[in-house]
Amino acid sequence: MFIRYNGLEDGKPSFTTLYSRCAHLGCPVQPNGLVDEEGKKTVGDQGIELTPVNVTGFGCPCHGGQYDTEGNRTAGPPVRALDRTEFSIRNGNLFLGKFYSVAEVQGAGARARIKRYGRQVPGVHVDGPSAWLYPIEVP
Amino acid sequence: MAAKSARRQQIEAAALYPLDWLEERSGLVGGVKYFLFRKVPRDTSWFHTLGSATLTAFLVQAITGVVLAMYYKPDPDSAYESIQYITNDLTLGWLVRGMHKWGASVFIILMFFHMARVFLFGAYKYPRELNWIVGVLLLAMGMLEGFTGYLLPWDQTAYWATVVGINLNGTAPVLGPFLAQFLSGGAEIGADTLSKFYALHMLAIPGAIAGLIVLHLYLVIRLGVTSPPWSEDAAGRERTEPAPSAGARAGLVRPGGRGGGSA
Repeated sequence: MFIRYNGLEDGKPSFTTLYSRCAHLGCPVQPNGLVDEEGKKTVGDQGIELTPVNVTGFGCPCHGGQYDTEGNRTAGPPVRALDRTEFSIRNGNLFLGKFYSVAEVQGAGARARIKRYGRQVPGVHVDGPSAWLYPIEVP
Repeated sequence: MAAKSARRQQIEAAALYPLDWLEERSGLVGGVKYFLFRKVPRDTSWFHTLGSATLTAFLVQAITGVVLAMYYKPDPDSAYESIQYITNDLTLGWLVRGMHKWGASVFIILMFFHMARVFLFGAYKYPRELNWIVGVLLLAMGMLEGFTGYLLPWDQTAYWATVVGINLNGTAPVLGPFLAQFLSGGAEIGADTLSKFYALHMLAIPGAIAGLIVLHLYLVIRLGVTSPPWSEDAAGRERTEPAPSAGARAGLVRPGGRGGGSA
């Protein structure tokens, strides 16, 4: 999951929660961008190193699918944008809800207009003429 | 050869006694003899051994698989450790695991060679069409066996290869997503997936392969083996006698052997 805080929208905090599985075949998508070497830190008792990245987009290492910061597909074999989740905030904690699939996102951040559909497996078109091949949604 | 001595006859009789005992009570020895000494064309080539080679590879997989199954734990928390145990701590565990892992590739490759041989020799034609169909089913089962077995080590390669493989299934139209969800046993790949793949890999698919192999072998025995396409016998041409070998000229080859008489 990739989670980004978008600031306040109508007084409520807004988040962008992108599912990191590629919409082509499900490989883990990685953030593209310059690596911030100074911000490197080690966490946990097993010494796991975390290096922050100035994210300019996402890319899939398996077959080269590229996405922008909102999860829209910009290049490569993926058939739609990255899936997202609904989210809610209770007691100051962020809870992730149901997954849904996205055809396209216009705009960015808190004011994004998301064309959402029911959740589909990778490789399934959710709109356009190819969507007629997948008429039945998996419950 | 000289007449057998009495002692030798005694030894042979003692050695054959268990086989005779078994034959009188079941007829199995006769069956095995029929299989081993059945007639095949005179010009059968080495290419005809590929089918038996594939069967041997499958038997190696079955035996090593049974040994592995005694120590493997099909639970996400302990699968990887059990394989580590097999590889590092168990006596000759590294050998059994390696044989199983490489034997899988050997099995698939030999299957393709055998399929190519049958195709190029035209051995799928009448009356052997059913045998070819059984062979295609065996190929599909063999690939599924490899696919289900790949997840069992439960490491990164296994996990992500299965994610991609199941999603590939999901791209089939109409029923694809349902098949993908059935295989993954839910929305995500987890404990249910591992159990399902283990059951398929251990029980369902080997059972299907064993049954299909029995049918495949029955058809081969019943229908017989075909000659290679370069065969002159099968083409009905006069068989050209090869020149006597140097051994024959020197009188070292037993008369009535290969280059010699036909019945």
